[in-house]
Amino acid sequence: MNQERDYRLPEGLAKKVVPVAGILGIGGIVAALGLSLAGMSTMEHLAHAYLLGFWYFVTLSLGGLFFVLIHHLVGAKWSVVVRRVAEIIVGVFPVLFLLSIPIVAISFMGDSTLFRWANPEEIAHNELIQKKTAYLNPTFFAIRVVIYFGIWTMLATYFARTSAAQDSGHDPAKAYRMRQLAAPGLILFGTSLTFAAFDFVMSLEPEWFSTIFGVYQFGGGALAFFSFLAIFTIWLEKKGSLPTTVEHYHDIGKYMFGFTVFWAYIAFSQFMLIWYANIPEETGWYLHRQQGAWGWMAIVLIFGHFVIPFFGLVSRHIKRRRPTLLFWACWILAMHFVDLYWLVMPSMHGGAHHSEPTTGIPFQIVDFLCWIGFAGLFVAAVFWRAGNRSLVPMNDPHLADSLAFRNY
Amino acid sequence: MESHSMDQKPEASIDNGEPRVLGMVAEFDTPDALIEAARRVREEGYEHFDAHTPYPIHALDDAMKIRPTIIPWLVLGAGMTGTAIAVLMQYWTNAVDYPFVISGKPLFSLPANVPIMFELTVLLAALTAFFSNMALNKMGRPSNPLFSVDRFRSATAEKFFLSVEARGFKFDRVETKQFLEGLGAAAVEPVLETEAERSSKLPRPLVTTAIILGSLALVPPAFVFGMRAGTFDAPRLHIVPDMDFQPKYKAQTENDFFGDHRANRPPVEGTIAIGALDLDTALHYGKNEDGDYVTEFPIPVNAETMARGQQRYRITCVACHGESGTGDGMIAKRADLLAQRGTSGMSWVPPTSILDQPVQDQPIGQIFESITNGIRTMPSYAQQITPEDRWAIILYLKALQRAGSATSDQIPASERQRLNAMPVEATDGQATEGEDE
Repeated sequence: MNQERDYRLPEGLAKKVVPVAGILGIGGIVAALGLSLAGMSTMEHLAHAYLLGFWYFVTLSLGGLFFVLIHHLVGAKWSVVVRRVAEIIVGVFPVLFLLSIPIVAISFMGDSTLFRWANPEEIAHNELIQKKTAYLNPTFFAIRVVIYFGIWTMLATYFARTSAAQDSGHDPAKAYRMRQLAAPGLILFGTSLTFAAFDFVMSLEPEWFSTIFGVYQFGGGALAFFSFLAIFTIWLEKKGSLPTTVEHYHDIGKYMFGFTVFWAYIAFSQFMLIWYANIPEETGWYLHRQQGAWGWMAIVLIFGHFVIPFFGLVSRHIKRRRPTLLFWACWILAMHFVDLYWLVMPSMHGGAHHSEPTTGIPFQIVDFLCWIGFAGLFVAAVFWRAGNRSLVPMNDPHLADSLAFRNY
Repeated sequence: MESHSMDQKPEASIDNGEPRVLGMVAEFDTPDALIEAARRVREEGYEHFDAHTPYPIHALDDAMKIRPTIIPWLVLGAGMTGTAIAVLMQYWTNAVDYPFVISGKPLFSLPANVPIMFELTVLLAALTAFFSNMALNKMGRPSNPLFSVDRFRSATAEKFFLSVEARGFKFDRVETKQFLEGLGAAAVEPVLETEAERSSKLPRPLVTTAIILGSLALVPPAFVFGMRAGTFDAPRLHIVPDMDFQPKYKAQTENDFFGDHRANRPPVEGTIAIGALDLDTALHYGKNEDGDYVTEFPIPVNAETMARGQQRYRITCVACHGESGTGDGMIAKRADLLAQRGTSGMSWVPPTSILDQPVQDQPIGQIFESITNGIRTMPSYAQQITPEDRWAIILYLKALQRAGSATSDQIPASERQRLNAMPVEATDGQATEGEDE
């Protein structure tokens, strides 16, 4: 590597991307709101679509936090060159926190727009929810959201700042300190992610419960992150902003392959225990998601989220070619949307316990508008974070190893 | 790097008593020199050569033009074979060979098979990866002729080696040596066949050790077979006794300590268990203190007791005696049916109708005695029904008897009008019997 070179975004690019993506993002969400107010969709559908877009980028960013923490913890060397990109991505948590405010606000409205546990009428005749109100109530929910984003922002800020401080001096103690703190950081990460998954998505159907649900969301989120990382780093390399080589893409591709299997493993683990035990209070959730349009979507997930990318990504030749890796990264990002859609949207109209099987195409324009809105704001936040910073941790003790890294 | 063997092919087939040359090994000081030498050796046309280095050097693959390994394909094939075997095996065992319904699931239900599919896929893929790697690298050979070259020992420390095998047309012990020296090798030495390799005999100590170990290995199985075939008076060895032997007597066993030789001790005469004191003879036996059947209820007679009696009756009595007490319960009907069909071993005394005049005339104390102790084929229900509930049931029986022998003028006028307005149908019992045929 040419040590004199700086690896930053091309001059002035961030200044151009941030406003465009930001306006696109706000425009998407405003358009979705406008369409709903104009009667093309319902507020209930909009709230779910908003939560879907929100949770899509929360899980993706949490995947990035996992990447930063685990690589510090195990002292990984190959990933040093792409670690700064992950550190920049996890810098979006404050933005996501602001975007969580509408969701918390909806829970205070006292109706079933999003969370049935927030509706006193629903609670009055639903004994299962009554037992859970000590945990599932708007005030405690708001407190927990603040705690989750506090933890994530704190972890993301600490590791990004320390890593940036490394750039201006040769202090191996910093790398060691980050490695020490990665272990308790991962414990905080795992706990907060699990409960956040319970609160934001699982509690949409407050009668239903699954302890593995957090791991399921982690698997999907990490997979989405690696796919986004592949796309972003290949683009940065093309722009001359990152000295990555095919070896790094190969490793990111391995992560994508591994987490494709991990996602399927966890999703099936959740399904099989419920299927085998066949207890009505658990099976209702799956039964609802196996009927009508949701049933077709479940089939799409089995093949599109596991079988097809499994064979698509299994070969090293595919992982070591940028176009093929890009293709599968886009595919997985699309499938993450389908996965979350299948989790969130069937909860509308009373969810598994009250509504009828959905037939026909469930997608509405607001679903995509919300996703585009969040994607725009996410990209804007990432570029704003990247700004004029070095995209490589220049004085990391393992940078040379990472640049010279080769797969066997 | 891969360690290809120096196959035991001589350069010349004439055995003149000298050790055969199996190849040449060249020592280099730097990895760069080795990479360059490997490239030149390949370009010169040598086919059977290999590099030996203390640590992996990536550029060597390219310099030597090592073909990509086929292990990934073997692993993929083995993994998918594992999946297929798992599906077929579970289909055969669960749905064909021994069909057995588990948890009400279909005989062949895919979700239950997925864990085994996963395990067998991983097992076959992992074993194939391991053993094909061993086989393709010719692992498992106890020695290699290269080890006889003293200089070669530093291949695991600080030197880099290139070995050229004698097989192949290109090899010539003089020209190859000169060629390798020309590549900048620090030293070039022939790999000679050692005396041990020339001899086809196994070393004596090895043979002796194998015979001794082989003989010793036969002792444990012989011991086991002997023990399994023989019979013994002594109890078996308890290596880990845990709590198998305890100094205590078990219930229902013999015990010489007591005069009656029973380990169980009967309770002291006159012992009454807690809650079993039954001084109220009317309540517990249905008789007054003179031994005559009571005619008055020893429990409060009210609507609540009546409802309790109805509920208990419908739980315990209705199976035989039927809803109305006439003896047309489900068990009675089924038994009648079986008796009519002449099912072997079938004998059946139908339950008495409580509407029969003899039963109507019984004092209630006698009915209580029948429930408590049983009568004819009816068993005792003292264990299932508390005395209070037995009396509640009798109260309900009295109501049934009253209803069963009532005349139409005893029905309130409004009810009578309603009943008269209803269409006349076959009674319940007749309809059901008709369906049974």
